[in-house]
Amino acid sequence: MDSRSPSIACIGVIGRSNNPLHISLFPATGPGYEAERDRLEFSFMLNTCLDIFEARLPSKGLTHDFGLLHALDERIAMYGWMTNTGVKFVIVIDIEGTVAEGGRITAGMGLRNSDLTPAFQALQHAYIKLLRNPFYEPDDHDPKLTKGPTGSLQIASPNFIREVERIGKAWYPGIRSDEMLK
Amino acid sequence: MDSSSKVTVEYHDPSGIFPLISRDLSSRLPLRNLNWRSQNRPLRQIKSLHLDFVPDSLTKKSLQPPGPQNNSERNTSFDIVGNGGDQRKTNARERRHQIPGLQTSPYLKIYILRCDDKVTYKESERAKVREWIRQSTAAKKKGEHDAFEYLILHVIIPDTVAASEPRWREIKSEEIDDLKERPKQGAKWPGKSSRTVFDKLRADFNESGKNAKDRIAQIRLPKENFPADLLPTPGISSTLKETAEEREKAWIDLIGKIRTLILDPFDQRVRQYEADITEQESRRSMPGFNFCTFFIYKEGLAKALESIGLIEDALVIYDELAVGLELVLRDIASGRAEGTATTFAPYTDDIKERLTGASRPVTNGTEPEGLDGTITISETIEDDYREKIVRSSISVFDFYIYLFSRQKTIILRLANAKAARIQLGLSPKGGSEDLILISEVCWRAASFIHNNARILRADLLMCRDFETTMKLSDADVESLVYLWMYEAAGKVLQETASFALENLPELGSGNHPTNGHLKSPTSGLRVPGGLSAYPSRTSSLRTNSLPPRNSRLAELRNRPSLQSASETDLMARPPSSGSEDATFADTQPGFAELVSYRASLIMMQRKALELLAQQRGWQTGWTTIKRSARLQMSEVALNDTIKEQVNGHGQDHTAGSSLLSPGLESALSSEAAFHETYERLSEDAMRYHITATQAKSAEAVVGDLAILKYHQGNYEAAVSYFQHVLPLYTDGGWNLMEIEALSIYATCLKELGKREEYVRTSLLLLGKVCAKNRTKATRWTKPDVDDETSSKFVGLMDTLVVASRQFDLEVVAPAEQFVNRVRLDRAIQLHDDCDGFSVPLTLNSLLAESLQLDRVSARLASVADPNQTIDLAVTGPVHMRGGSNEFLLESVAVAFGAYRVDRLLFEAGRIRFEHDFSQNQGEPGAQSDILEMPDDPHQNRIFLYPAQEAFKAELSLQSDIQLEATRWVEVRLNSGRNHIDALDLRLKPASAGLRLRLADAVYGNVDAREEEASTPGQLALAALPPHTSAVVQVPYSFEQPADRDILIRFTASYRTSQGAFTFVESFRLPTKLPLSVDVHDNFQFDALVSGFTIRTTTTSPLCVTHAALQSSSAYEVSGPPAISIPMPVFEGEPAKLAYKVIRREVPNDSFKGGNRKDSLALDVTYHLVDEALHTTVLARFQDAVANSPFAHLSRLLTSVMTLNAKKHWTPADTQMALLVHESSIPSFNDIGWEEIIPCLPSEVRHDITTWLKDWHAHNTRIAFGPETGSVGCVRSISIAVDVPSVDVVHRVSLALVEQPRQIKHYPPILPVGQPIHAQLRIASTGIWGRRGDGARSGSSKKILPKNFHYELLADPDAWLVGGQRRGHFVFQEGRETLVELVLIPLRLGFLSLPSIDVQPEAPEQQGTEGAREDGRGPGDAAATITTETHYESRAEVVQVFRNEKTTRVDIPETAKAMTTTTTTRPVSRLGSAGTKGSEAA
Repeated sequence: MDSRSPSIACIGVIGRSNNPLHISLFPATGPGYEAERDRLEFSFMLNTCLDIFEARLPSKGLTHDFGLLHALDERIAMYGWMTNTGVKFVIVIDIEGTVAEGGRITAGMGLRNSDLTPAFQALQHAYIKLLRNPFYEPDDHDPKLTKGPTGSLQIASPNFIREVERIGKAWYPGIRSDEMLK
Repeated sequence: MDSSSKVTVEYHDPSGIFPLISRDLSSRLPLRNLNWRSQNRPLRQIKSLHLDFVPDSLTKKSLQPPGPQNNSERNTSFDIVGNGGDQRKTNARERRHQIPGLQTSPYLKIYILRCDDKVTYKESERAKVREWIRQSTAAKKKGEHDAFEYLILHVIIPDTVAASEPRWREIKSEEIDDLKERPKQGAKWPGKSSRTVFDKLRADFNESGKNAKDRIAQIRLPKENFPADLLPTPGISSTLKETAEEREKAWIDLIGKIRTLILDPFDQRVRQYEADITEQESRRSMPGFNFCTFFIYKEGLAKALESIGLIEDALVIYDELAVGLELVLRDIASGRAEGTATTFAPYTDDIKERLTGASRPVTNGTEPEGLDGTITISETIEDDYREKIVRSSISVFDFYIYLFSRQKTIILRLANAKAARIQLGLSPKGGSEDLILISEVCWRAASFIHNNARILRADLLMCRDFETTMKLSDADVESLVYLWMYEAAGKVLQETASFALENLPELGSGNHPTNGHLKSPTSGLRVPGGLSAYPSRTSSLRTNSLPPRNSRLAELRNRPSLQSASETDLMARPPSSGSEDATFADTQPGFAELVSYRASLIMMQRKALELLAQQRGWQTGWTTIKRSARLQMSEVALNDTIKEQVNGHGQDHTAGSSLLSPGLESALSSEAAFHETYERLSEDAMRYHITATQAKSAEAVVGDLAILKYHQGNYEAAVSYFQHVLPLYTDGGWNLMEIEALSIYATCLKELGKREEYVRTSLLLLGKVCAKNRTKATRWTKPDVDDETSSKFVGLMDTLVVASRQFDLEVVAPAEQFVNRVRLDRAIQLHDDCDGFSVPLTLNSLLAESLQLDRVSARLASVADPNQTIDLAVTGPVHMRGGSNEFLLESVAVAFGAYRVDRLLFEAGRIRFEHDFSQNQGEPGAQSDILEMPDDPHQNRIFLYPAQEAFKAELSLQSDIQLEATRWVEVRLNSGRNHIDALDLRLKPASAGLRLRLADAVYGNVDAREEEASTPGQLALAALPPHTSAVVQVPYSFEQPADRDILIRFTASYRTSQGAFTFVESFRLPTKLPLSVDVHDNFQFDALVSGFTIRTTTTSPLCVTHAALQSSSAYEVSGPPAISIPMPVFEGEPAKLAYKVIRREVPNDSFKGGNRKDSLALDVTYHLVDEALHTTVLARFQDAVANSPFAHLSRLLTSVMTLNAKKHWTPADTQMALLVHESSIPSFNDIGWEEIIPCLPSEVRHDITTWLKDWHAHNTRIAFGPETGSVGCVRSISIAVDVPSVDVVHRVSLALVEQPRQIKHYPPILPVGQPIHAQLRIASTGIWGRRGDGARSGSSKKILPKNFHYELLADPDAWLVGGQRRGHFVFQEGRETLVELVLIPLRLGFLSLPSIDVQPEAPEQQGTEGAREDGRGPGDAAATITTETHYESRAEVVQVFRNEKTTRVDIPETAKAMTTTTTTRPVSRLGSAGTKGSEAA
C-alpha cells in the first residue's frame, strides 16, 4: 500500500451570518480513494463547526487562526480561520487524502496548525481580492441584509472560485506561504 | 483539592508491635504541606502525602503464619481509613528490574524497636539494629535511584523499665510549649548511669556532626489502649506517667522526622534521575541512542514526582515524552533515524485478541477488565508495557496507548475525577472535580484516538503482511480499527463521567418521541443554558472572573493533535485549582467544555458504530441519504458512476468482518439492535451538545435521529424530530441541507397521510429547489453543483397538484419562489370586435418540469389610484414549461391610464401560487428578480387605453351652477360600437364627506332598469343601442362645505352579446369655483345701487362673456347701458359691475321682505382661459387625428394630449394669451409622447411618431381670441343676491340758499368769512325695510322708532356753523324736515360741505310714550334698527376765496415835518411841540 499524505478535502467560506458563501470539494486521489466527496456530508460538517467558532470566539484575541476545530474521524479534521469581518474559512483536511510524494509528510505523522497557515493566508488573500472587486457586494451575500425571496447567497465570482480551487489543490503539508500565494 | 500520592515506607518489625502503633500513626497521616526545595526548581509544596507502610521481607515472613494479623499485613493509610485493602496489587511489588525507577522502592525504612530495658538493649537489640542497618544500607550502594533513609522507632510498652525512663526534662506546667529533651549526658552520679534506652540508641546510631540526621524516634504506648495480653508480666509498678502534651510532642517529633527522612532521599533520587536524563539527552544525536531507554529514565523522574504528589510536574514530563516520541517517529519515517537504536515492534501482535476478547474471559459486561487493548491499563499491564519499552519491543500503537494512559491517569488525578478516586481507593463522592481538567482529558482523548486509529490501521496492515496465518481481511482491519475507536472512546467517557453530568437536561420527551409530538418545535430543545441563536456561554462568561485559567484552557484546546516541540511551553499545567469554585452548578467552569468534548467522543463512538454497521449493510443518518440517492441514480446513469459505486462505501455488504468486541456484540447483533444503540448514542450526544449550547451540532444529531426513525418506518417520530430541526435549518442559506431535510420530511408526511402538510412541505421544498435553480441561472459560470437535486424532484409538482384537488381549502404558495423575470408586454392588444384587451405575459419558470396550470391571472392597479384594479386572466389548462413562457392574458376591462402589476396568481388544482407586488414595496431589492428589471420604474407598468369604438363614459360637474341649488355630477355615456343589453353604473365616492345621491339620479336618453332591485351604490340602466349617448345626472353633497377636488371611482359593467365588460376609471373633479363675486350695496332714497366685483380664485385669468342681474317680482333691475363683453378678469384685477335696483310697486301682501323668490340673481357666463386654450388646442389636434391614418387611436392620443397639455401653460402664458390673443402649443416632448409610443402596437409606432412630430412641427402657435375657445368650456353660474332690508333710509341734503355766483362746471364760489344761508333737508322712508311695510300698513307689532337726531359734522377749522347743528326730528313717511343754517367758510380753497350724521334717538331721550305703550324695555328697537343715510350733498364742494372789493392805501406824512419835530425840539418840549403839532393839524 502506498503511504498517504494529507490533502485538503473541502474548503468552506462561511459568511458573517453563518451562511455558506462557498464550498469547494476536493476528492481524494490515488487508487482506492476515488470516492466522491458528499456535498451534503460536508455541508453538515461545516455547519456543525460553526458551534466551535462561536464557543471559542470570546476567548479569541486578535488572532485569526482558530486552529484545529474538530477531528471528525481518523481521517477528517477541520481547521478554522476567521477574518476581522467575521467571515470564516474552514479547511477540511483528509489526512489520507492523497498519495504521499517524496519527502512529504505522511498520514501517520499528523499535522500541525502551522501547516495550514499558508493555505488560510492564501484564502484570505483571495477573499480580499474578491472584496476589491466593485461588482461584489458583501451585503448581497448576507441573509440578514437581503430581503425577499433569495436563492443561494454563494459567491459567484469565477476568479474567486478558481483561486479556491487552486489553493485546495496546491496545498500540501509544509508548503511555504510564498509558494501558496504565487 | 486532594491530590493524593503514596510513598512507600518499609518497616522492620521483629517484635510485631506495628499494629499497636498503626492506629495512632494513621491518625497523623497523610503528611501535609511538605515543602520540597531542589536546586534547579522552584519551591514546591506537597499538600498531602500518603504513606504506604509495607513490611519488609523478613517481617512479612514472620507474619505470614499467624492468621489474626493478616489484616495488617499491608496497612496503607488508605486502607486504614477506607478499609479497602487491595490484595491484588501487592503481587506486582515483588518484581524488580534493572532499570531504575520502575519500582516504587521505599523512601524510608523504619526499624520498630521494642526494647524494654537497657539490659536487653545491650544484650541483643543493639546488635540486631546494627545488623539491620548494615543490610539496608548495603542495598543502597547501587545508586541514588533507590535512595532511602532509615529511622529507628523505639516503641515503649507500658509497665516496662523503659516506660519509667523519662524522655523529657522535668518542667513546670506552664512551659508545656518548650518541652526539652533531657540532655544526653545527664549523669549526675557516677556509677549509676541515668541514661535511658533512648539515649543509648541515639548515642549508638545517630551520626555525629553538624548536618547529621536524627534518625531515632520514640513513642510510648499508653497503658489504657494497650491490649492486656501483651503487657509484660510482671509489670513494673512505678512507671513514669506521660502527659498528653508529652505524648503529642513525641508524635510530632516522629512525624517531623519521617517528613525529613522522606524528602531527603526523594531529593537525592530526583537529582539522580535528572543526571541520568541529562546524560541520555546528550547522547540523543549519537549513534546508539535508544528512545525507549531515554523514556524509561525520564519516566522514572515522572514517577518519582508523581509518587511524591507533584503530579503537575509529572504531567509535564509525560507531555515532553509524547512530543519526543512524535519526533522520533517522524525521524524514523523520514529516514533520518539511521544509527539510533530506537526500535519498535513492527506491529502489535495481540491486538485482535485484546479487542475481541478472544483470549481473555470477560468477567462481566459492564467492567471489561480484560480490554486493555483500549487505553485503560491496570498496573499489572503497565509493567508489561514498561518491560516492552525497556526491551525496545513495544509497538508504536502500544507506546502511544501507554503514554496516553499515563497522561490520562495523571490528569484525572489532578482533576480529582471520580474514576481517579476510585482507582486510589477513595470514596468516589468526596471532593470536588476540576471539570476543566476532565474536559482536557476528553480533548486529548479525541485527538489521541484519531491519531492512534491511523497507527492501528497501519499496524494491522503490517501485521497482516508479517503473519499470513492471521488472515485478516480488509474489512477485518477496518473493523478492528473501529472497534478500538469505539471501545477507547467508551473507556474515556466512562472515566470522565463526572458528577456534574448526572443532572443533564433531558430532551423533553425526546427519549420516547413515539408517544406523539413534542410539545412545540422549540420547547423540547429548550434547556437551562438556552438554545437561542446566540446562547450565553457560561464558561465563556466566566472569563472575567477567572481570566488566566480560561485563556489558558482556550490555548490548550487549540492544541493540535500532535504537539510540536515549540509548543511545549503550553504543556505547563495550570496549578490545580483549589476548592474555591468547587460548587456543582451549571456555571461550573469547564462544564461546557467537558460536555462538548464528551459529545464529540460519543459522536466518535457513533461514527465507529456506523462504520461497523455499514460493513453489515446497515446504514442510517444523513450521510446515507446521498449515498442511497446515488445508488438509485446509478441505475440510469452511465458507466462512470458505476465504478464509483463499487469503490465507494456501497461495497459488497457480505464482505463485512465478523470481528466484534464483547461490548459491541449485542449492539451489532441485529439491525434493530444497531439502531437502538445508534439512537442511544445520538441522544446522549444531543443532550451533551445542547448542554454545551452547541445548537448546530445538536441539530445535526437530531436530524440523524429523524433519518433513523424514517429508515425504521417510524414516520411519526421522524416528523416530530424534523419539526425541531427544520426551522433551524432554514436560516443561514444552507440550502442543500434544507432541501434534503424537507424532502424526507415530506415523504414522512406522505406516509402518515397528512396530505395538506405534505403538499405544503413539498411546495416549500420545491421552492428551495427553484431558489437553487434561480441562482444558477443568474450565474456566469456553470456551477459545480450537479443537477441531482432538481432532477430528483421532477414530477413532484404534478403529484402535488393531483393531490391538492381533493382539498377543501386552497394551499397558497409564494409564486416568487417558482417563477422569476415576470414581464408584461407594454403594448396591449385591442380587440377588433369587442371591448377589452389582451396582454402577453412572459415569465421564467424555475421548475424543472412542465406544470399544467388551470388559470394564470394578474391584477393591475392604477398608478394614480391604487385601489382601482383590473384583472387579467387566461383560463383553461395552460402549460408552464421550465424556462421561458408566454401567456396571453385577457381582460374585459376598458380603462385608460398607467397601470402597474399588482399581483400574480397561478392556479393549479387547489394550489395557488401568489405574489403580491404591493407588499414590501419601496424597499430596495424587495422584489428581487421576480421582475425582469426591478430597478426600472416603468418596467412593470403598462398603459391601458380603450379602442376608439369602445364604450365611453365621462364624469364631469355640471357647467351651469346655481349657487344655492343642488349640484350634480354628470355622467355622460356613449355606447360606442356595443349593443348594450344592460348597464350597471357604480359610482364610489373616494373623497371624505362626499355623498352621491344615486337615488335622485336623473336619466337622460336612457332608462333605469326596473325589473330588478338595484343594489345600493349602483345604477341599473337598461339597454343602450350602439353609438348612443346618454347622460345621467347624480346630485351630490358634502357633509362639510369643502373647496377641494372630489374623487369618484367609476365602474360601468355592461353586458353585450359578446359578453360582459367593465369600464373602469377614476375621476377627479374640482369643485372649487374659479371665481368669486362680492357685492356692495348703496342705498338711495328710492333706489339701490348694487356693485358687483368678480374676481378669479385661480391663477388663470377668466373671461366673463355675459353678466346680468335678473329682476325679480319685487325688484326691478336696470343695468348699465353697455358693458364691454367679453370682460377679462385677471388675478388681482377684478371686473366690476353695477346695477340699479328699484323696488316695484306691488301689493302689500305679496311682498315679504327677504323672501328668496324676491331676491335677485346674478347670472355670470364665463370661461377659464387655460381651459379654453386647452380645448382649442385639443380641438385642433382632434381634427388632425381624425383626418390622419391614426383615427382609431384617437381616444388614446387625445386623452394623452388632454392629460399632459394642461401642464404646459403657466398662468403667465394664459394671461399673455388673453392679452395678445395667441399662444403656443405644447411640443412633442412636452406632451411626453415618447412614454406613450412604446405602449402602442409595434407596427404603428414608427409612423405615429413621425406623424406626431410632424403635427407638432406645423402647429406651434395657435390663435386665441376671447371667444375662440369658448365653445366647449363655457360655464355659467347663477348667484342669488339678496336685497338687504333697511328699516329707515334717510335722504339728507344740504343746499346753499343763496346761490352765489356760479361758474358752469365749477363749484360755487364763496368769499371767506362771509356767512351764507344753507338749508338742511332730511327726508326719510321705510320702504326698504320689512318693518317699514308694517309701519305703513299698521300691522306691525313692532314700533318703529320715530325719533331721530341729526348732527352736522363740520371741520371747525373750515366752517363756522350757525344755527341748529344738532337737532331732533320725528320720522314720518313723506315728511321732510327743514333746518335753516348759516355757514361761514373759514379757510381758503376747496371745502366740502359739512357732513350730516343721522342717528336714531338714543333710548332715554326717546319719547316715553312709546316705551310705555307696549311695555317693552327701552332701547331694544333702537339697538336693532338699521338705517342708511343717503347724503346727497356729500360730494358738493365750494371754493372759498378772499372777497377783496376795496383796498385802502395810507400814505404817511412828509419827511419834513418829521424832521422838524425831531431836530428842533428838545425832549422837555415834546409835549408842547405835540400840542403844537396837533393844533396845527
